[in-house]
Amino acid sequence: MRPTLPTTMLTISENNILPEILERIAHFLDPHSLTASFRVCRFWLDCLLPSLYHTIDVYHFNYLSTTQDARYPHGSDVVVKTAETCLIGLECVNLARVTTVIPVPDWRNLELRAIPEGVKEHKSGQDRNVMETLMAAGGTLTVKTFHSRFSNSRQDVRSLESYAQITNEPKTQIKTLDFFSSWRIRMRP
Amino acid sequence: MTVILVSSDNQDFKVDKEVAERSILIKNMLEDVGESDSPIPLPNVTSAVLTKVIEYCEHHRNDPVQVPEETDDPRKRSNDIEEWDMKFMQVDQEMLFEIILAANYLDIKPLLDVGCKTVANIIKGKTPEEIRKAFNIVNDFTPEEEAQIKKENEWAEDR
Repeated sequence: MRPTLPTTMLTISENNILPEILERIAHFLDPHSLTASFRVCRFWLDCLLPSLYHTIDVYHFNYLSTTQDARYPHGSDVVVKTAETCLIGLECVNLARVTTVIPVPDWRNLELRAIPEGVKEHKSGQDRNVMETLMAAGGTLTVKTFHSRFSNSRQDVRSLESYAQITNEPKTQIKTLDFFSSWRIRMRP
Repeated sequence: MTVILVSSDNQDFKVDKEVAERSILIKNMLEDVGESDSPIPLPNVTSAVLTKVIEYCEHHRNDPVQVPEETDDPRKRSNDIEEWDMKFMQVDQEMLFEIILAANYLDIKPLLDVGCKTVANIIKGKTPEEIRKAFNIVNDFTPEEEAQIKKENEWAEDR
């Protein structure tokens, strides 16, 4: 019979392991084990989430002059840049007028997703008018994805594609007109 | 040339300089103080752990100097541990984590990686509950929270 663990034993818990070490351990986990690890406890979740979601640093506010827009007179453009090369998704909440410059090795895998706060997600098949209504009503948010899931996203798909074709660089520029903040990128595990 | 390392419990360890310099922390300290016989205190490392760390550094004294980590491999492998390292890491969990913490403090990245890979191998294939059992961790999620976390992140499992 195996002995039970003594209560004084050093374990991977908040008091005796550094978050950066737990995060380093996560680098060696396969996706299934990583997501299982998220659910071990809050401390593990806090430490390990960055392994899957990476924050993009907003490095330049007011980079472009805003288009005059009566509804959002104080909206400013924000340029977001990340050096991550395995981007597969992006989540954004609560910033105004966002321009993103993102290296996308395989742009077809890019998914831009806004996380609404207190507003229902913009459902597939709804048109731009619905999006406008949502924006006007709540000040938040739209959801856009590529792969033509939303009608209003097609323009972004084309921008993404043409930019990639023109520059032949693993970058793309996406401009949105919605209120976003708190950027998180989903990384390919 | 040898250097003297002093553990947190005031035990002296006389070690070849090239062995001690597997630790980037110690290497930098030695470079800062120059030629000196002064013992190097390591207040965060007990004698038991320092003994293990020195054993590792002795074995790997001729290894190539650490190179910067590869950035193009987002998911590192944990199944490439050398046989000697694997045996070296066959210690109880308390010692395993002490070694990891010491490797982190002393800045010995190869040892830190071996320790982290060993822990990763313990985690692999386990359910959250099995992981908690393995590491004696209390679940502080409500069932609803745990279900929500699973739902939010299950996209990653398909990758």
